[in-house]
Order: sequence, then C-alpha cells, then structure tokens
Amino acid sequence: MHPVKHTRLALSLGLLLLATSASARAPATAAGAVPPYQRVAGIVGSLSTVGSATMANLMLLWSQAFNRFYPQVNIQIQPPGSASAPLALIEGSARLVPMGRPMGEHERRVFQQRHGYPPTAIPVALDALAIFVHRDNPVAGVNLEQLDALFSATRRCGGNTRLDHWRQLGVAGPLGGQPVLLFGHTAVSDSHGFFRDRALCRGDFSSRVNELPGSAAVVQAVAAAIDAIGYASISHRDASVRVLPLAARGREYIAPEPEALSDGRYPLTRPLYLYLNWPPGQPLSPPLREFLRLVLSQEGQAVVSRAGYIPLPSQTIARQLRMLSNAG
Amino acid sequence: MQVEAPPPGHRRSPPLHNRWLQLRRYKDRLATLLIMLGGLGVILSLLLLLFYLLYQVVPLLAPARIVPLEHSLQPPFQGQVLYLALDAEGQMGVRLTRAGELQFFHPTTGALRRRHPLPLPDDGRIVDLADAGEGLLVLLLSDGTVLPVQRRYTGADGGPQPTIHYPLGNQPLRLDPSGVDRLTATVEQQQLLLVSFQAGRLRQFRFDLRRPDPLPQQAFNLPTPGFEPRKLLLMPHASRLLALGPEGRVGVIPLHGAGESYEVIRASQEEISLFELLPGGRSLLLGDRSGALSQWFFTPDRYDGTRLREIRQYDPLPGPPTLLAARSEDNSFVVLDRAGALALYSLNSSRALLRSEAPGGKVDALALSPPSGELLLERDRRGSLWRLQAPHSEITLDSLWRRIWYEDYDQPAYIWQPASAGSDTQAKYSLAPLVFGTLKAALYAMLLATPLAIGGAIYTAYCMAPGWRRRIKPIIELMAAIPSVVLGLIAALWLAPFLLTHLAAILLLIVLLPISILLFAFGWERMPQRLRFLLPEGWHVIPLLGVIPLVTWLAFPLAQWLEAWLFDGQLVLWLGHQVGIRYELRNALVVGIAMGFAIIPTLFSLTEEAIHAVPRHLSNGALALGATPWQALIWMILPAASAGIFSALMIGFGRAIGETMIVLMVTGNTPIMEFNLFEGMRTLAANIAIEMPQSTVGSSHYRILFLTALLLFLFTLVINTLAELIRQQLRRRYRAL
Repeated sequence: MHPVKHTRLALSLGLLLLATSASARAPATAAGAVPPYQRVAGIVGSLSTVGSATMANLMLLWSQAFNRFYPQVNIQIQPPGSASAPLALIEGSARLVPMGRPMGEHERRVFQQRHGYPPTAIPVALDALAIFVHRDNPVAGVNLEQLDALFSATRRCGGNTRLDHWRQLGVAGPLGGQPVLLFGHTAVSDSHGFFRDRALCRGDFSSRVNELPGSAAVVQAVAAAIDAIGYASISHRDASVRVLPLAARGREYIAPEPEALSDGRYPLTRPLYLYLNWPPGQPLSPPLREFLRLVLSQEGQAVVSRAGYIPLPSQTIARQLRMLSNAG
Repeated sequence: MQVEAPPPGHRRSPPLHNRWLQLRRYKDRLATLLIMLGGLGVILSLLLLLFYLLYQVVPLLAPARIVPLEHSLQPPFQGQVLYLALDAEGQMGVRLTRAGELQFFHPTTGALRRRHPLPLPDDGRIVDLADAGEGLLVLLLSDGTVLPVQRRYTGADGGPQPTIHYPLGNQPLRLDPSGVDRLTATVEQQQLLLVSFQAGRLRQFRFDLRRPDPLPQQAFNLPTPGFEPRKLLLMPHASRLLALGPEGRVGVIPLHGAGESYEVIRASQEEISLFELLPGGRSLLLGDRSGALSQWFFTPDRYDGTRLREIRQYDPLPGPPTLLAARSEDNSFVVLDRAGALALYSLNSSRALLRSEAPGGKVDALALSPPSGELLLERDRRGSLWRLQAPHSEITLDSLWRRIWYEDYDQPAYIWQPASAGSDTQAKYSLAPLVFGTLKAALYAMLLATPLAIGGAIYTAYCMAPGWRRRIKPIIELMAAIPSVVLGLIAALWLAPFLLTHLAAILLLIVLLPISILLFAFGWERMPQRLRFLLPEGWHVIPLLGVIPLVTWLAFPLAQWLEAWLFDGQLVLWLGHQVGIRYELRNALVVGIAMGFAIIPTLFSLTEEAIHAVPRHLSNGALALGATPWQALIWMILPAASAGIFSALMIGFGRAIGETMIVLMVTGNTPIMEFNLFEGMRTLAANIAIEMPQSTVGSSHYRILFLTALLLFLFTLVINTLAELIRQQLRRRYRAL
C-alpha cells in the first residue's frame, strides 16, 4: 500500500474518533500534533517480542501496520504475559518487550547486573482499568477506598469495615441484600499487580476474588451475574456490562473517558510500555528504530485507539521521539 | 510364548529348519528384553520424577547459616561510630562518626574510599539521628539544631560514586529556640516529615524537598504523652507516631485529624531496650531487658478503631536486644543483644532460624545489605563481614500448615497469596486452602459420580440383558474419551450460567428423580402380570426411560412455582439475602457435575468389571435356595465385589484429585476454606497451572509449587497403589471360587 494513502486512512479514522467522542478537544490536539510516519528505505531484518498478554492485540496491529511499510521485515509476537517480558529482556531472547506495567525494582536490578545499564522504557499508549458491573446494576459509582474494602483482605487504604453486600454501596431493593461477587485476574497478569498497587494500597487480595485468565473472561463473567463486580482493561468494554465511574475519594465520580485518562484524572490509568535493551551510546537496529517511530507516529497512535486504548498526549510523544532521534 | 509349528505346506531342509528355530529364539529373547526394558523404564522414570521433585523441594529445608567472609577488616575504623550502612547493593560501606565525619569504604576490604566532614558548628557533635529513608539522615546536633543529609550514588564504571546533598541547605536548622531533644523523620512523596520533642512537647514539621526551603511548610503541636519519650518512630503514610516511654510504656499518637488524643500502652513489664519498626513500617519490634522479643501491629478493635496489639513472641535472646537489621525481601531480621549474641528470625514465625554467639562481645553497630545478605558488624572499631544464608527463610512448617497472623489482617488465617508480578508485596504460602480445595472438589465430584456410576454398574452387570450390556458398556466407556478441557469449556460457558438461573430446578431434580424412580418401580411391581410380561427379562428399563425426561420436564415449572411461593421468586437471591449463603457463579456444584461426568466412565467400568467378575454360580445358588434377586445382590454379589468397588472408588478419587483443566476453568480459583457447595475453591493442580509461568526459577514460590506437585504426586501415588493392592487381593481371593 502506498504510504500517502495510508496516512489518509489514519486521518479519516482520527476524524471519526473526533466526531464520536463527547468532548472532542483533547483528542483533537493530541492527534493533530503527532506527525505521520515517513517511510525509510532499506529496512530489512526481523523483530521478535515476548511479553504482555494485554498488549498482544496492540502489538499485532502495530506489526501489521509496520509490515505495510516494510513487508520484508519478519515480526514475531509471543504474548505469555508481562511477567515473562523482563526475563526475555534479561536473557536476551528479545530486545523489545511490551509490558503493561513498569518494571519492578528487582527486575531492573537484575537487568542492570546482567547488562551494566538500565533497560529503556518507552510509554506507547494509555490504558485504564475499568470497574465493570452487570448492565442492570444500579450502583452509582465507587471510590478507591470502597474498592479496597471490597477486593482486599487488608484494607490498607483506610476503610474500617469490609464491604461484602451491595447495600453497603448504596444499592436498595433485593440486590442490596446480595453478597458482592468479585472477579479479578490471575497473578501473572499486569492488571493484577497494577490493581494491587493502586486500588489495594499494595495490600493483599481477598481470598474471595475469583481469578480469571484475562480481561475478556472477567467481562464475560460479570455480564452473567447481576451481583458481580470486576476490574478489567477498558479496551474490553461492551454492551453486556456497565462501566462504573470511579472516584479517588468521596463521590466525585469520573468516567474513564479518553479526556479523563489523558489528563490523569481517572485514578486507575496506566501507561503501556515498550521496554528496550538499548546499550547507551549505540544506535538501535534499524527495524527496531523504525518500529518505535511507527508506534509513536500518527498511524501508530490511530492503531492504539482502534484497539480500544487511549493515545498518548502529543507532548509525551514528542519527548519520546526526541529521545529516539537524539540517541539514534 | 506359543510354539509355532512350521507351516505344513513348506517342507524345509534341516539346516533351513534350524535357522528358523534359531530366529524364533532370537525374536523371543528380543521381545522379553524389550518388555523388561519397558517395565524398568517406567519404574525408572517414576523414580526420576520423584527424585527431580525432591531435588527442587529439598532446598526449602536447608537451615539458615551465617558464614564469615572477613573476620577483621583492615584498616580499623576511625572515630566513634553512630551509624553504619551498606549501600548500593552492598558495594559501598557508609559510616558516620559522632564527630560528624561521613566515611565511605569498601565493604570487603575496609579500604577507605572517601571521607566527608559534615558542616557542623565548632565543637559540635552529633547526639542522635533519624533515618528518614531514601538515604536521608536527619542529624540532631549537640546544640539542639537539626541537619538533614542525603547521600546518593551515581553508577559508573569502577563502582558507585557517592555524592552528599543537603536538601534543606548546609546550615543546621533551629526548629525550636530551646533545642530539640529527640526526633524522628520520614520521607514520603518528596516531603520530609519531622517530629521533634523539646521542652516537654511534641511538634510536627513538614518540609517540601522539591523546593528546598529551610522554613517548614507546616508546623504544629501534637498531643504529648505524660512522659519524656526516649525514642520516637513514625509509621508510614504519616498515620501515627510511636513514642517509647519508661517502664515498658509505648505512646500512640495519631497524626491525622485534630482533637484526637494519644493512648499509652503498657507493652512490657520491663524496660524496653529495642524499639524499631520492621521494613514496610507496619510492625513494631520490641525487645525488653529480660531478652524477650515481640512483634506488634495495629488491628481493628470492637469500636471501629484500631489498637496496637502484641501479635507474637519470638524466641528470647539471652540478654536485652539492642540492635536490629532487617531485609524486606523475605521479611527476615537479625537481632543482636547487648553481649553480642545474634539471632535470625523470620517475621511470621516465632522460632529463631539461627542463633550464634558472635565472638568478641558487645557490637557497636550493625548493617545489613538486603540484596546480598551481607552483614557488617563493628566491634571496638573493627569491622567484620558475614553472609547470611537463608534463601527460603520465610518458609517454615508453621507457615505452610498453620494459621498465621499476617500484617494488616484482622486475625490469624490460612492465606495463599503469591506475590504479584513486579510487586514487592510479601507473599503468603499456606498450603491448607489448596489441599482443602483439592479435597473439596474431589469430594463433591465423588458425591455426584458414585451413586450414578455404581448404580449403573450394578444394573448393567447384574440386571441388564446381556445383549444390552455389550452395547451400553462401551458407550459409557467412550465418555472417557471426551477431553477434560471440553468438559471444562462446556461447564464454564453453559452449565454455570444455566445453574445460576435454574438452581431450584436442579436441586429439585436431585431429590425428585430417585423418588420418582422408586415410585415407578413400586408401581411396575403392582401392574398386572399380563402387562409386565409384554417386555422380555432385562428390558423393563425402557418405560423408565420415559419417566426420567417426564420428571425433568415437570421439575422446571414446579421449581419456578416453588421459588415464587417459598423463596421470593429466586432461590439464589433468597439464599444470599435470607440465609446468608453466598452463591458464586463458579462453584463446587458446577465442578462436582463437570468432574463427576469426567470420572463416571472410570468408576463405572471398574465397578462393572468387579461385579461381573463375581462367579454367576454364587448368585444362582442363592436364588435357587430361595433368595430374592435383591437379597442375592446385597448379601452375595456386593460383598464379593466390594474390594473391587472400593478400588474403583479410590482410582476415581485419584483421578478427581489430579484433574486440572476442569477445576481451572470452572472454579474462580479462590483459595478459600469454606465447605459451601455454592462457592469455589483453588486446587493444587490448578494452582500449579496458574502460577508456574509467573514464578522466578529458584525462588521460594517456585520451590513451593514443586512442593505442591510432590504432594499431588504422593497423593495420587498412594491412592492408586492402595487401589491396585486391593484389586490384587480380590483376584487372589476369587481364584479359588
């Protein structure tokens, strides 16, 4: 496909997004300032990545977009989960890994010990953990302290009593007397760790949280039971469930809309990263460099919104691109 | 092996015939050898498997050790020590003297790298300090002023390079005109929180480290307990201040909210000699003059508040504990007493992992490098370096099998909570909920499968027309060919939501079906003989096949009507609302049905064979002597087949325990210990499948997973061996009949 034609496609897609979003201002400035991708001649080689299951879809779409520019570059994607990404980066089986969370202290330390320099993190998109309930559930919203009192055994965020009935969340009627059914992710997933850090104040999950393997399973389970609540990536929202607005404290609920995510008002927003094994002072391999430039381009960010995530603010992208061009 | 006669059509000449015999002999030997090798191979691989599991598990049992690395560092230190630390992953030793000199040295050689005199006023000395975290020390000087000093490291070739930084300027701060007596400090989110005691009152100060300013942003008085604190500690999130008083008293002073009052607890009968927070800042470690050592933390009380409570007592030391060094990695800590005796503990276990008499008497300072486990002791200005080897110190028999009271929990509990990926939260490994979940799943599956499979087997082997038996048996055995992942898929996606909406009907069916079958049998007996003889012997099951669907069909409207009449319209809601029974979507009932379905073929086939193997002449004899078929079944057939049925049950149970895919997909994998039919469980097998990909090779978590694998292996090995022994016993017994 000709690059110009492709650009037009991305542009129209961006316009479509602009038209559908309620307040079009924030995404418009974000999309407007990001430059389109310029094809570079003579890129050959291969890329292989191991990492986040959350980002598998995103990586696939990016690699398709990349192959449209460079059909001769071979890209392999293995998404076993973020837990395996640092290991692959440390062992050298991949030079680029997608991760749904920043690397932990220990992982960074092991990397540094092995390679002598820290890994490079490049934020590439924004994701949010949304709180899902059944579509007929009338609850108005929750705040972080309530989430902690629902999902944790330790209540480190300050709640005094455990919440286990819907009545305690302000639901009247027959549902109010029902115990709350909790759905979450298995500990391999980055959502599990992120939710634990942010919503449980690093406390422990209650033993009653049903652990399911991935966001799709959580949404499916929540859709099946009126008394269920679960957390999952915002990209999995659909008509069978309702997304609860969330408040950091009190009742100032904020819905996870794109603007609330990109300005950081929604409390469970997280960047998605690509981690690189990039020795300081050395140029990146050309396919890798071009892949990153594509991801941080207008086309790459259009892919982000197509996959259900939120594109990065344009300033962040400009900063990342500067860093890439300065070093490369 | 049978001897084959040479084919009659071929007349072989004698040498050819001999060669044929020889070839036959070789073939025979080869087959014997191959079969023997196969058998030995099976046993060998089983042993290898066991050996490998043990090889992975045994390091968990390794005792903690302390290994001397360097008995006496050269050259000796200079100046009187106040503070000792190992920084930059144990690559840099730091020592602060009372005279105000910061010394950086190589920890293994003791060679001085750098000396940095602090800007103290003339003939000023450091009398006390508070470690605020992030390398920031707040020094209390002899003239009552305060100086925060921060050390940082820039990593470069040739090791870390220290830099000294004065976040609030290099002029000591005078927080109070009368001079500070005691202080504590902590850094949180670029804010320095400082609490000082002077002139009989406590004051709190807050400095912003992003805009260094020697004037505090905030300063106010705190409620002050009626004693002069000997030591102050700040809990994390600036929630509370702890003050050590005389005669074993501890003051708890809330920092949030105005108008709150302090509280004083008599924590010990003796004077307290060790008063420190453990890593994470949630637990307080107290050591008193008698050598007793105890852990304290805040738990909710009856009045919606919290209370500082003694959680556990550790094995006491010979003398008063004075020094503490802790690792947050595995929640272990080292305590030294006044005479220099050392003990290593794990936070959640009362027993000391290691005790050693550090030779040479009183230790002046102690530092621990958490990542490497290196321990630096200073005694009479001589440093000695040790290494703690306790790779799996948090795993003890108690932590695996008994209730443990963990930080932030309301009460002791069995908790399975592996650390999440990339998070530094403390993992908790109690095997009790997993073993409980495994047994629960297996038990419910057996409850469903046993009556169906055994009843079916009795009927097939004893009552059914032989022509039918030949067809029915393979069909049921064919059920075993369904992969368990398919069963799991159907159960998770179709059965679980179906049960949620039709729970009452299903429960009603469980009661109604046996009753209706018995009623039908009773009615059939009462029918005129003319009608009954229309069906040949062994075919009377055909009308029953009409009864079962009919009852099933009737049960659904009946259940709906019952629900509307008795249970406010929906049984599931009524259970939660009125009885307080939780109904989880993915529960033991679904597992019981799905896994019951998976073990029915095994159970049926083995039981059926056992019953069929009972010689016919036994029951025939009983019938000839006037027993009814029922009597013959109960008193002759079943006792004779009982051992076989028992072994079938054991093998079915073994299969249910090892089953992974169904429980993984059908339950929510909740590690709870509730026998409730409507809640889920987490089984050993499913747990391994879930957590193996996330565990780091060689970590405690990894080895614990191997331990659960070993447990599972032994479970099924013992059960299957027992079943096989019983079966052989049975065969021997009936050879005589």
